[in-house]
Amino acid sequence: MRAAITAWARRNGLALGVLVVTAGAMVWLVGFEPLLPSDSPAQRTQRVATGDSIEQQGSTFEVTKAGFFTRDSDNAVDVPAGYALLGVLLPITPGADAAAEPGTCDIRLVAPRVDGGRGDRTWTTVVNPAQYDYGLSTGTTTYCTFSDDGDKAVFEGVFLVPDDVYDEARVQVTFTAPKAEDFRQSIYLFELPSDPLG
Amino acid sequence: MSRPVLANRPLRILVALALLAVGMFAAATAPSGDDGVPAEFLVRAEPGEVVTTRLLHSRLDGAQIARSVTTTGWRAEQVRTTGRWVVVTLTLQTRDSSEGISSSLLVIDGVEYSSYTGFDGDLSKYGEGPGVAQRGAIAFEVPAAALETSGAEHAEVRLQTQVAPKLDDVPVFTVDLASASRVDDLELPEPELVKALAP
Repeated sequence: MRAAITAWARRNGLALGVLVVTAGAMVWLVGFEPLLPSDSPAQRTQRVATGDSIEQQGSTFEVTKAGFFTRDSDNAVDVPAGYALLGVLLPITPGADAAAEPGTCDIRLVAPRVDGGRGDRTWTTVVNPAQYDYGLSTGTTTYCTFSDDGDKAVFEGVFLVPDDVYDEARVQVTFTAPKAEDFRQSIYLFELPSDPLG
Repeated sequence: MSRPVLANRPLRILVALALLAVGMFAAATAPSGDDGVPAEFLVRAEPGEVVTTRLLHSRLDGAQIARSVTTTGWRAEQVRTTGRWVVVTLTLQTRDSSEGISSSLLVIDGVEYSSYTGFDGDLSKYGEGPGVAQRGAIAFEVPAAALETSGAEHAEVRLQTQVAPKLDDVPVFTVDLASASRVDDLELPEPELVKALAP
C-alpha cells in the first residue's frame, strides 16, 4: 500500500503542486484581495487641521474663512427652511518653485453618510449662487487654477446643503498629477473654522 | 495488498461519465443574462408615496397629458407633438451625490418610452447634492393611441439614473394615465427647492 501511494505521488506530484498553488492564488484573489484597504499609493488622503496649509505643485493652499448662511442668518439667503449655503474662501499662493504649467484642482464638500455607512456624501459647488441671493466676494474666483505667474488667487466655493452638516463637513481638494506620474491623485480634507460667518 | 478503488477500469469510466453528466447539468441550468439575473430590482410605489432606493428618495406627485409643452426661462418655447406629452411631476432627493434621471422610462403595455431631455428646466438633469429635495417635472412623448389602451390605466414611470441598470434598485410608480387630466398646453414647472423627503 505504501509503495502504491509513493508511486502515485511520484506520478502526480507536479500536477498536485500546480493545483495547490493555483487554488491558493484563486482563494487570495477572490476572498482576500478585495478586502484590502483601497487607499493605495495612487490615491492618498490627508487631513488638514483648521488654520494649517498645504503645498502642492509649488503653491500653498489653505481654508481661511467659511460662512454658513440660512434664511434666518444676519446675512440671509433665499433658501427654504432646512437648507443653508456654505461658502469657503481658499487662497492659493504660488511659491518660488511653482510649476510652470498651470494646474487645476477639484474642490468639493464632503460629510459622512446619514446612515453611518461607508463613503461620504458629496456636494459640488453651486454654479450660480446669485439665484439664492448669495453675493460672491470681490476678487474671488470660482475655478481652482494656479500657476507660477506670481498672482495670488482666492477660490470661493459655495455649496447648497442641509442646515445640519456644518460641524461634520470638510472641504475636499483633489489634485491630479500629470501623466508622467500616472495621474496619481492627492486628496486633502480641510477642516472648517469653528466660527463661520453667518 | 489491496488495490486502490479507482484502479477498477469500469468504475473509473462510470465516475468520469457521472462527473461529465453533473458538469453538463450545471452548464445547462446555470443562470444567464437572459434569465434576468443581473436585472434591476423594481421598487414599486403609488403616487404620493416616498420611495427610498440606493441613490434616491423620490415621490411622484402627479401626471398630466398635453398636446404641447411650454417652457419658461430665458429660452422659453412651446413644443408641440403629433402625439401627446405625458408630464410627470416629481420630488427628488439624492442620498450620496448628484444624480440625473435622464434615463427614466414610461412603460405602457410593455412598450418603453424614454424621457424627453430637450426641455430646459426639466428635472431630468437634476443636480442638487444629497439631502436637498427639489420638485419639478419630466416629460415623455408618446403616440396618442397608446393612451387609449387598457394599459394606460396602469402605466409605469421608472426613475432610472442609468440607461440599463443592473443589480440596482429602481423606483417604479404606477400611474393611471386614462384618468389623468388633459390640457391643450402645459407650462413646464421650473424646479424648486422643497422640504427634504428624508434626513
